[in-house]
Amino acid sequence: MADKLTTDIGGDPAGPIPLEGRDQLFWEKQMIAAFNLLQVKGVVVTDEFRRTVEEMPADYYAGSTFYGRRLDGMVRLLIEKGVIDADAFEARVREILESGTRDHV
Amino acid sequence: MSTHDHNHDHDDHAPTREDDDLELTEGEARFLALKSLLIEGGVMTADEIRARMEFNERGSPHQAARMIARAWLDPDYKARMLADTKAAAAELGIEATEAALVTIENTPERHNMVVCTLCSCYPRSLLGEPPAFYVSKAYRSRAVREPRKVLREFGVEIPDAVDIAVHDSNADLRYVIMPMRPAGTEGLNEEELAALIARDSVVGCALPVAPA
Repeated sequence: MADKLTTDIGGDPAGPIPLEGRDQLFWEKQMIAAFNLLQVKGVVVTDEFRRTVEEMPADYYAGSTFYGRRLDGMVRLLIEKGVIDADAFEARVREILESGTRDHV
Repeated sequence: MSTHDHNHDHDDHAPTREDDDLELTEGEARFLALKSLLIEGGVMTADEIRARMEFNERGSPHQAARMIARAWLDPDYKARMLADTKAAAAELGIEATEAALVTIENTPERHNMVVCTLCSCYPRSLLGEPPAFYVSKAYRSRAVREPRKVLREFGVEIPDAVDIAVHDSNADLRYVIMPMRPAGTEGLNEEELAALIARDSVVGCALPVAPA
């Protein structure tokens, strides 16, 4: 067990604050809404979701984006809980990337 | 809307999406894969996702601004907001879904700012989605160590004589900062005051300024 959680970066040295924002993408809004529903429906709870993020390897965490990290954590948790199947998920990702469109979802 | 006579949820037949012209990224594809499995598995429906997105859209900086402007004008409301922020939000018809919200008032002696060092906890019901800086690792790392310097990067200069308190949010407790009402706003009504309260002032990274 590390002395400090991967996520525990408060007080660490870091570069300038990024002042330029960008609007949330449509899929990011959808993702937040879907994650809200998972909680409202009792499929997941905040603390177990946070645990999946805390378990991420430090180098992965350092290079991850805000939405990417949340998505990966949630996917991992839902697989762990048996809500989705890992192989079915990866197959579906490939299928969508190969088609290159959003239409068939 | 008419009843579907097939099993798929074709929510992408909905009106044109704002980023349809963007290339499909791996991140989006991974989300779409998850979403399709959740819908197929009966965990949620596309309609539920749409409804929740609409609900989430109600969370915007205007909500916090309305509350703070009301508090500036009405000492009783201010006392209620400081005592129970969620109840004070409900008074204005705002449904705060956060576990707990606490309002902290800036004073001439103390400026307050909010960070979530561990993730990105933010009062979304009152402010909408957090801005990029708030979720950045730079802000999360530095806000607790050198707040004065961080605020300077936002163009906010806090005199040395004024203390700065940094409040670290978490999923169970989120903070709202009530900025001081700027001088020169005596004649303004609630709506005019609300217009002065920018999103970042509610996490202490900006200060309201009287209209010129």
